[in-house]
Amino acid sequence: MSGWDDLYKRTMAESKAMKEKISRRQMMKIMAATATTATVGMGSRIASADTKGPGWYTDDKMKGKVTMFVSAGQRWELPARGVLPLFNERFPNIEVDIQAGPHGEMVTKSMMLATSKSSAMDVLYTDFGQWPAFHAVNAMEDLEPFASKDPGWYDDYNKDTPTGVQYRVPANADGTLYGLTGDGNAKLHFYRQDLMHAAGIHKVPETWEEALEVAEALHNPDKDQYGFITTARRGGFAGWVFWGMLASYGGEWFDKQAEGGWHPTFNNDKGYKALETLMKLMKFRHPVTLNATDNECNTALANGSAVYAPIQWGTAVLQNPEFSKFPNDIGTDLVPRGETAESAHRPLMGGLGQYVSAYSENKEAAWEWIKHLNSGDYTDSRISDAYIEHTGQPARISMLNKYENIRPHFAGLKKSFPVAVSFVPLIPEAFTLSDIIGNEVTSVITGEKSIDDALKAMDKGVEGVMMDSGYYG
Amino acid sequence: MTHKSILRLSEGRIALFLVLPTLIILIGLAIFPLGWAGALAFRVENLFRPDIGKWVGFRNFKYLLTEDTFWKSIRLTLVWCVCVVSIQMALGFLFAMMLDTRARIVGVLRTLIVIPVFISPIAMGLTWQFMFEPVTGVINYCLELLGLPGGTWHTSTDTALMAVMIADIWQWTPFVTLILLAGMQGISPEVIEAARLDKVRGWKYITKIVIPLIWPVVMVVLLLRLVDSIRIFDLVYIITRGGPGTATLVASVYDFTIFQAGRIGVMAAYGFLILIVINLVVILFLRLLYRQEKEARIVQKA
Amino acid sequence: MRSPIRKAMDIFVVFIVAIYLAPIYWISLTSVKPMNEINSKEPVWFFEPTMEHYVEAFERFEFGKALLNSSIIVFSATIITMILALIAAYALARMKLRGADVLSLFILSLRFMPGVVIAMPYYLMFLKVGLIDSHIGMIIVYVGYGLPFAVWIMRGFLIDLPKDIEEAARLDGLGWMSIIRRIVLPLSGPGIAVTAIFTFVFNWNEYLFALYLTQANAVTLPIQIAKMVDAYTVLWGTISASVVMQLVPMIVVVFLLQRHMIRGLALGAVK
Repeated sequence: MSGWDDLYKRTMAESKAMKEKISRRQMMKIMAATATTATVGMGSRIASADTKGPGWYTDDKMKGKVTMFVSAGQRWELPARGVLPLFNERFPNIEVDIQAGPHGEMVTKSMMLATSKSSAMDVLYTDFGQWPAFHAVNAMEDLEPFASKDPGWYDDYNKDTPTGVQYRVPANADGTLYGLTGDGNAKLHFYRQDLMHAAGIHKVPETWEEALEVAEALHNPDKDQYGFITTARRGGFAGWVFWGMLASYGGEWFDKQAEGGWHPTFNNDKGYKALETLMKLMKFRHPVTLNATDNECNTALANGSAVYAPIQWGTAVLQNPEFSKFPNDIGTDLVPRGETAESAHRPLMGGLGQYVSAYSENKEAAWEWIKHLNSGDYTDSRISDAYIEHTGQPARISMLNKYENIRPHFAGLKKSFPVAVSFVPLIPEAFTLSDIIGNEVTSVITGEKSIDDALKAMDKGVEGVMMDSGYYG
Repeated sequence: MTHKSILRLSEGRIALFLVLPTLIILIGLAIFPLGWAGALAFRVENLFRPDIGKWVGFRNFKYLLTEDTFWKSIRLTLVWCVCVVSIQMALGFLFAMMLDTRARIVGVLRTLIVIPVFISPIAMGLTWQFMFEPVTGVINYCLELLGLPGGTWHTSTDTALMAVMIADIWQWTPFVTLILLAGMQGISPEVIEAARLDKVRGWKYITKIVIPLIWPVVMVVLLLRLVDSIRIFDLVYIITRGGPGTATLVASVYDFTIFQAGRIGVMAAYGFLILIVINLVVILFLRLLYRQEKEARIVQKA
Repeated sequence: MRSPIRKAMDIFVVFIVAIYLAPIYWISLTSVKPMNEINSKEPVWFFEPTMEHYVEAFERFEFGKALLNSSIIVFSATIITMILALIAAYALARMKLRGADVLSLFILSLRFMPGVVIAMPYYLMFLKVGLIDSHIGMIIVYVGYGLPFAVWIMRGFLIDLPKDIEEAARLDGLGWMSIIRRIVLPLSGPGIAVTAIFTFVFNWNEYLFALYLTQANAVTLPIQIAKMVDAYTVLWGTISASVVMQLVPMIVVVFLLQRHMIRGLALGAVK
């Protein structure tokens, strides 16, 4: 019996439990029971070295404390806590202290931690879109000396992790490794299979035109069923919806991301087309759309008041029976593309990862911890199991493949990663720029500005920031 | 004679000595950070690019003053203040009048009604967001049960400000009630008895007896609420983050979103502009109040 | 003894208060509702109650620790603020100090800056002296931030006290300390109560400074509640459970303080 069979059994027990409406207490009992049988099973397998991969080793001489800052909640804090017991098994004398902060303030808080030059944090688990900013203040430790000590592991990491989320300076295969990105995400296309079938649509929309037709067909406000939802809240939330659509029309942030370039390119046909399409979709929007973060969108999709989200960050909650009313009806696919010649499927991609602070006083231990966190099956398949079980969303293709059965949206992620583009330009100012474009997008959606004015303002705002940062010489 | 003059001579010094601990703390914890922020206001500073800081004179101020969003945020803050404070004062007074009896059940209610004050705005903001939800929220559900049309609440530009105001009014009216009630309970029974004998009732009783007697308390609450309303942050930030669009972008929320975008220079400049505006409003308000208070006292004495 | 009109009034008052507190009822209900009943298209009124959110608040969000932190920090800060404010306000209100009016207005104006603007300098200052994520650091912040307003309100109350009583006491040969202890303190009871409640509530609810200046040791309740919102879901049940749990001690405190305050105010109204 392989590792995921156990996990699969447990997840099935979970979903069955919910369907029979038994309390969570009872469900925990069931889970505990299956877990016990699983560990008993594992015990025999450990004897046969079944779960351990080629990268397994232990070290009880390494000592010290590793403090890690992480964004609170599922996908980051919980998986880290999930794989911790196994780390303690491998390194009994290293103490790992996981300190979580509210997700909403992660960007500013971690930036302040990174610039503080303090040794209080050994590891920061943050958005890799921020890493250029961290790197610019020399907060990140060069990981090559550590990684090269275990070439087998390094090779496995490189091969298994999509290049789009790997963080190297400069950003190519030969660049220096500064952080490990074991977590990945992409904007996905969430749809309700049952309702689409009922409406006579048997094909997942390919283009925005088709997406519009689906939104219209499923839109039925009298029955509290809305045909479109997305994260249109002020700031980056709205900005990344727009940038995602712009990318699918073949647009770019800048004329060229190199010296002599860096001039924003929003105010053109592609920008216009993207905003215009967004406005058309907005006709079918769920009422909370204008104020929605991922939380509101997921809640609406899970309770069935919103039924179609063609551009939405990937998440497991919609297919989780404990949260969603339609765990088996929600399908995922690639974000639609534009209809023009330059259009293509270009979903946005992001990810979070860990780096070792340059001011850490315990870098060796910190490295072992983040290496463990990113190991997957290469070290021990129990790491992967724990990671997935505790809401983790891996970037490693092998893990996406392995757990696709119990986490259906992994299929969508797997399809998206090879064609994806970064959700922010990889420069320190990324979040400043995202805020600028996001606020302009909301001003169009709320009717405060025309599309043309907003696009002009985006160009002007972005250019101002780039000018101050000295990109134009 | 000499004894008295020695006393006088030392009074100013003693006073200074007594104020000193407060002043020292404020110099360290208020004036110094303010000075720091003041310097930032004249600089380009990006949280994400600490290396590009440079002096730019009044550019941040100029940028803000030419921004429509800046003026809108000032306007929204003033509208917010006027609406929220006046409704809270009126409603708080009404509640205080209702609860100003000595019935035992009312004693319990008095404790119950202050509950909202003690819920952290973060939790309450999230709860309001949950209850306001236009499709699945409990508020629209109840309205529909009563045969009334549901609202769009915090999700539409037309109603968002009102929705957030409701949340704020709900949370802080009990605070006003609590303090006004304390004032009312302090009115001596003789005065109430005398009023009853003179057949002073209803509206006249309120305006001629209650309000003048609790006027100092009213002023304190008014000022407290005014200043806190001008600086309103948590509730709006949690419920709408200033949106949809710029519909609820009050001063502190706008400033915080500027900070989140990393533009520390602009953030500091905005902070100082707000500081000036609020000081103007408060000084004007205090002048008006103190003049009224003096008049009220003269009336009272006459 | 009581007229029927009075009784009808009382019932009406109870009704109004009940409506007003409906959101609290909803919060309590949510705190014992299973997760997938909370997230439903129509509000669910009948369900099998569960304590899972309470367990989660304690186990995953260390509610007990946060409550303890909040209590230590907020009570200490409020007491220190009150002592300092009372002394300073007394000097500004009752003693001949040149420029007292301007000075108090200046002190007040320090509170009008949006919190975020001084959060950064605080962070950097505290980093230098090693006060990040410490109880003492948070107490210092709250004292510094609450003091201007406390001084201002206390001064307002003290100015209103009749001057002749104090004058008479002075003629009787009482010293500064005895005047403050025997005359000013009892007379300014309501002022102290109002200011203390205000300072307490402000510190209890404060979010921004706690966000940037605490990490793990000294985290306060609002920060723990903010953590219940993660990137994909809001744990409404857990949030409601923590609201309910922090309300219980609060109600006790209010009940005690309120009696005190009303008695104090009755005294203050002698003028």
